[in-house]
Amino acid sequence: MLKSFLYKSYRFFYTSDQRRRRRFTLAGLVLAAIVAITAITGLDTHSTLVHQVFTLLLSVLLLSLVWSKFLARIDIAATRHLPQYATAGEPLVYRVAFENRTAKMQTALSFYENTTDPRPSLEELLSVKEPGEDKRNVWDRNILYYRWLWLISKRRIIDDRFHAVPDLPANGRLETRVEVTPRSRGYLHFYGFEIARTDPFGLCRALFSIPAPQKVIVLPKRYRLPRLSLPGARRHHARGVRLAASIGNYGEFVSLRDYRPGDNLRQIHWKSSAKRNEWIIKEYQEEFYARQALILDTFSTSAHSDRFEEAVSIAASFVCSLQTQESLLDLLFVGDRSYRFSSGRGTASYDHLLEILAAVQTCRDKTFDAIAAPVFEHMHLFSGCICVLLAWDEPRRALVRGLKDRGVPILVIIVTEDDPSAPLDPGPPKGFEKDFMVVKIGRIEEGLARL
Amino acid sequence: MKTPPLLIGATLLLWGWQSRLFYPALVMAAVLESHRLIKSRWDFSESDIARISDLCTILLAIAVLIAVIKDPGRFMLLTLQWLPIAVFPLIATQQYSQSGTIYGSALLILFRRRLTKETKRKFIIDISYPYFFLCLVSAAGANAGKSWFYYGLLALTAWALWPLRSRRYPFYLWLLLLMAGGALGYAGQVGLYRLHSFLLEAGYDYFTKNRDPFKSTTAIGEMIALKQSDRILFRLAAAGPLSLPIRLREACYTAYDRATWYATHSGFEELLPETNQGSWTIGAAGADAQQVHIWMRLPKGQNLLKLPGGTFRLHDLHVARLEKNSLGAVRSESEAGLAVFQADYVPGQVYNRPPDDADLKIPATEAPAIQTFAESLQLNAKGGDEVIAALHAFFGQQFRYSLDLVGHPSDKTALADFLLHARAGHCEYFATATVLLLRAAGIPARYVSGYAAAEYSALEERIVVRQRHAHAWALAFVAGQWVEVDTTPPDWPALEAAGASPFVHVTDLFAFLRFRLTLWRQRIQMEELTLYLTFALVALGLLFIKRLTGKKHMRRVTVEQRQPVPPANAPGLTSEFFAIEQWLNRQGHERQPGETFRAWFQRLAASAPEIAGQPEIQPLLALHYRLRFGPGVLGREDRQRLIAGVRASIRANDGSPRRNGAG
Amino acid sequence: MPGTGLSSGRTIYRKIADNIEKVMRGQSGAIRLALAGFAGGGHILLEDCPGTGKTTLAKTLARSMDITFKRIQFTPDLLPSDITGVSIFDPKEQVFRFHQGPIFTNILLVDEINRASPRTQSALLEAMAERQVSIDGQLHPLENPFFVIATQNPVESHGTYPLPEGQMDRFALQSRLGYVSTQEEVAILTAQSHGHPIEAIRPCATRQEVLSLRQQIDDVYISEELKHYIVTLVKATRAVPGVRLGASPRASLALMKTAKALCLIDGADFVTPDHIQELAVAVIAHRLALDPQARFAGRTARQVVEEIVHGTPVPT
Repeated sequence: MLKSFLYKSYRFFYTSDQRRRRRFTLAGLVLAAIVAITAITGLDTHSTLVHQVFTLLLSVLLLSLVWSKFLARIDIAATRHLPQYATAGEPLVYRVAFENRTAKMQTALSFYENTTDPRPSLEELLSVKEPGEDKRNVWDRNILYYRWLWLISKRRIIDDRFHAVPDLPANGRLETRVEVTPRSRGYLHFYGFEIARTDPFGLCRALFSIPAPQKVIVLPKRYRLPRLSLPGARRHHARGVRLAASIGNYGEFVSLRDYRPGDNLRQIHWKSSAKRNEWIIKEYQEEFYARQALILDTFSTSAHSDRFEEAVSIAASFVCSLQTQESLLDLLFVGDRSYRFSSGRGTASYDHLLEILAAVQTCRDKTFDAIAAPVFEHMHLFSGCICVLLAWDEPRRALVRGLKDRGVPILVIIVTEDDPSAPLDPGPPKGFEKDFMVVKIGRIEEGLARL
Repeated sequence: MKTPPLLIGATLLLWGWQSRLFYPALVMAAVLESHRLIKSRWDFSESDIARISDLCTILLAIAVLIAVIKDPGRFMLLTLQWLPIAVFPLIATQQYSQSGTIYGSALLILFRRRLTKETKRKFIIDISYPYFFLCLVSAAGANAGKSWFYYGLLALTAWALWPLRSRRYPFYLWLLLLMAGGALGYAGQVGLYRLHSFLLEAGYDYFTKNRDPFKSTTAIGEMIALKQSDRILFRLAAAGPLSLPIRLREACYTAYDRATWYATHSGFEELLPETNQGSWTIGAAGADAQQVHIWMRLPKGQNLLKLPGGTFRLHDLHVARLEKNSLGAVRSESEAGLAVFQADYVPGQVYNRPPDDADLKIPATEAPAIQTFAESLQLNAKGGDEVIAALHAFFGQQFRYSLDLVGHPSDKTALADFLLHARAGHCEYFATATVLLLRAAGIPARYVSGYAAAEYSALEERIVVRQRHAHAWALAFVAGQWVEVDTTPPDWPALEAAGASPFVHVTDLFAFLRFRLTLWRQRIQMEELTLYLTFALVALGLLFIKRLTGKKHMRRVTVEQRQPVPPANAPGLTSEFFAIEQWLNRQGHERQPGETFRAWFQRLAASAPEIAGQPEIQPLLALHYRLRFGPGVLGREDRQRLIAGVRASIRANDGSPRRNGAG
Repeated sequence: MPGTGLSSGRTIYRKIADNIEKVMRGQSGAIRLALAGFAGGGHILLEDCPGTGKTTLAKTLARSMDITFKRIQFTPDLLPSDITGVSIFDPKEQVFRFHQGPIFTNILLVDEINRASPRTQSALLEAMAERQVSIDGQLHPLENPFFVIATQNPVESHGTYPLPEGQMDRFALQSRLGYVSTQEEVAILTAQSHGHPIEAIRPCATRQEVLSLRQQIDDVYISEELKHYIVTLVKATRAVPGVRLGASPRASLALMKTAKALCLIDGADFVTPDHIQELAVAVIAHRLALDPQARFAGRTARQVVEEIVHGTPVPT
């Protein structure tokens, strides 16, 4: 009961705070604060004239409020041109095209984007724990205020800000450039525009909305990786690249050569054989390239975990850098079931992998052993393995040991919040120290640079 | 957001003028506004801002201290007046900083540790508008009623609001709304003033602690336990030994009606001070005069002085006005403060007007009980002194002092019940009963209220008079003069003391300290204070400058905007067609930098068809293009055609309506 | 004589364009660009979804002019010799005789250029750049005019070998056709309900006329200021954050030539800034290589060039 009441009051305060911030410009807020201060200090009207300041500013503010209440809707249309992707932590730049359908020029308007409501639901407030919450005192833990704040900051992807609408000539159209920075990965939903018009004093705003639903995928933040020498030799892959072109079925042509006994008769090059009156064989070069497995540890007890986010970022960094190194990549992780996503040649499959990483969530109901089976099942396909782990406990050590025993070269990266120089207990398997790395949240880029 | 130029300077000057700190204000305004002329800037880090913010806090603390010393009752208002000085270092830092803003996170110690690094970076604020409002409120706070102040306020506010206005609306609309706001504000402030005055008057009776010289409402008949506070109201000291208790009278009343004593015909007449301001003669001097020192806190306005009976002269009393009435009450009118004066008095003497019929009247409601008692005591048969002695005996033996007020049956008055039944009550009962009995015995009597000084404080080495020493007694006219008759059982101070709070020693100590502080600060003159303040400011200013000159000194770099310069021999830059562009710019149509003329006209075709859609424009544009980008030189006839065409076009369109910006 | 030469250039263009439009409806912008590229002496890359008429455009263009046309379909098993030709030993004469590959033609249509292996791609691109083929130590020059129209599908990414960024420079411009409007598509259905209109196309320009068209662009005048403008645009691409490889001076050259060609098509005798702005994206965008970070932030090369064009002050 108490929690439900608290939840409702937090919701109410949040909504009214947002409304106040949207209704009043910065100047209006400052003025309102001054009115409040002078109301208190000017109580004694006989000894000071502070009450004059109070009444003057209050009248100005009230006139602004009243003016902004009477707003006729302005006939303006707006469309957004969003790019295909955005990246968390990087500015997203897009254009908004405004069309003025009235016969008068429209000046001094502003707008802000209506995106997802960051208020969590009651169940979410009750169930999701803030990291580090046990360090707070008993009062805070029961009142859940800090949890509320943390949930809101997690769910709010871009900041609320007003952008200026350019001066639109009558019946004209103009574009403006908007820059926002999404804070976390996932889908960024836009619901529409709220166009604001201030009163003559510039203190209060009146708003009306234009619906414009759209969404853009926010890819996870990526770090720069140094030029990697990945573990594992290039392995022969029979039948060329998986998903090779439908025309042609054997690797890449190299040359024609004379027939040697034992060659595949299907590979005879008939034209030149006819010209030379001997058997000429088309020589193929079988594709040799490395295919890496990228194992992402999704097993965490909480829904929002900083370690998990960083692990996803590290995985995305690998996807991005391997793309330029002509290696192929398979992403393995466990969600509601185990998934394996393969990439082929061409950039679109890497984009696909990044999109998947943008949406991946933690797996709370299974243990780490759930990933061991799919890994070992597909291990023969891979020349090497990159493991991004969230902890270093027995099941994870068992996986690494298992892979090592099969002779698969591995690179292990562990994400932790503690000091990386402190030796991990127990340490890496013997002879393995080179490819074993612990990175600390907040210093990931430095950690990865040591690769 | 920055305030418009010179606004802060003007407001500072106004403030300086109002708070009588004009020269400091002039210096501050000059420093702040000359940042537009002085081009050098400093780079302040967050820790610098933190230190300067601490400096401002120290200044603020000093201001509060000085204000408390100067006038504890109004120290908040004084602090308000001096706030612009306290915040001056911060605003000066901002004006002379490289970025023109300061780190808000460094301002308050509370914020410094809580915020994360990212939010700290975003919390950059510009305090010019808040500082402007601070100066405005301070200027208002220093002022107590000049009528033109409101207009100055309006002008400054309008100046401040001007840059914030929305460009959508024409200027006259903004002005109109501002006038409306100004009128509303004026009506509002007049209304507030009137409301306040009304409340003051209505509440005056309710809140006043001073006795009204015209009536005294007693607690006779009240039901609640009467508990008076231990608060020390005033102090006495005498050169020689004094016999306690000394009765100090405040006011005298003649007519009793239903638990209230009234003073009739008791108008006040003014007393004139003697040539050395501070000495006042109240009555005729007498033999055996004694002098007593009195320390009394006088609130602002009119107060009744509590003086020993027989006071004929007062020394060192610096009040604006002194009055007395025929019943012996002395009223002063002054500013708030601690009055330290001496009273010369003749012990035992009472100054009062001669008795009249009113002094023998007994109210009808009390008459039966009084008459009964008078007969039972056979008062009629006795002479003046005997009556007094009899009353003393009567009350002393059969009555006791009590603060508990008990209810009385409805068929009797409280006083009757006191006399007949309860035989216990507080001093008002005793005094009232005495006066009425005296009157029943045919002796003119009056009722006096005041205080009885009975307690000598070892801590202060003075006699202290507390609230609970409030007392009432009777005056009887015997043998041609008025004498005091106090029939309250003499153990009443002890009984009152018994009900004192256990913390009385602690509160007394504090009261003593406050008393000494007040005495000390009264000795300090105001002029010395301004001198100290100016010295302190100058010293701080020098410290400030010295600290800054030791820091990195970065000059502001103006970056030249590199305009792409067309090759020097670009042909056709003198083309007349540019006049059309300028004309369109004046109409409010802007060309984007990457837009060619042709593309621009296409875009304008929708919104300004009268110009851009004209068929004559296209051939002119073609000619202009040939002039600018074509091979060779434009032929003469072609050039003439261009010139003529441009002129005709502009002339034809000058009559078209201007685009207005209302929306 | 510039007067008659220029007007003849315009008429030639008009004839060819009208011819093509009989077959390709609703694509006048793309036809204009294609012809500008052709007249400017550069090669075109058409990147578009399947079935929008890329092959048809190339074929119609070729058939409208009295010149040779060959088509190569790129597959992963294509050898460089399949493009350039092979020396085959003639046993009778006891010499190696060179059999020309399909590259020896006036208009070469390369379908799905991103399907062949990088080795084959570079063989073609080198030949395009040098206008000659070297086989067994002998140099065989290519025809004049020589014009390559290459096509690629952006949709399929499996089994494709994207053109290396350094080689994209060889194409003067990249354009796309896109889907036509509803009425036009209905008209296409009507037109093709009985046979294909391309069968009815007859050449309307002789080889000589085509050669003169190409020569005439040299006569088109471009002012110094506009040359500065072109270079400013191209240089700006090198300074944009997120662009790994900007446009080279080859881009400036291509832009100038194509702008001149467009001028000729419009019948003007000097280049105006509007021509340059019309062509900027098509000529420059495909030469830029974006950082993967920028790409994943949503930036495209076209966007970058558009922003540069909007932001650079243009000579008025």
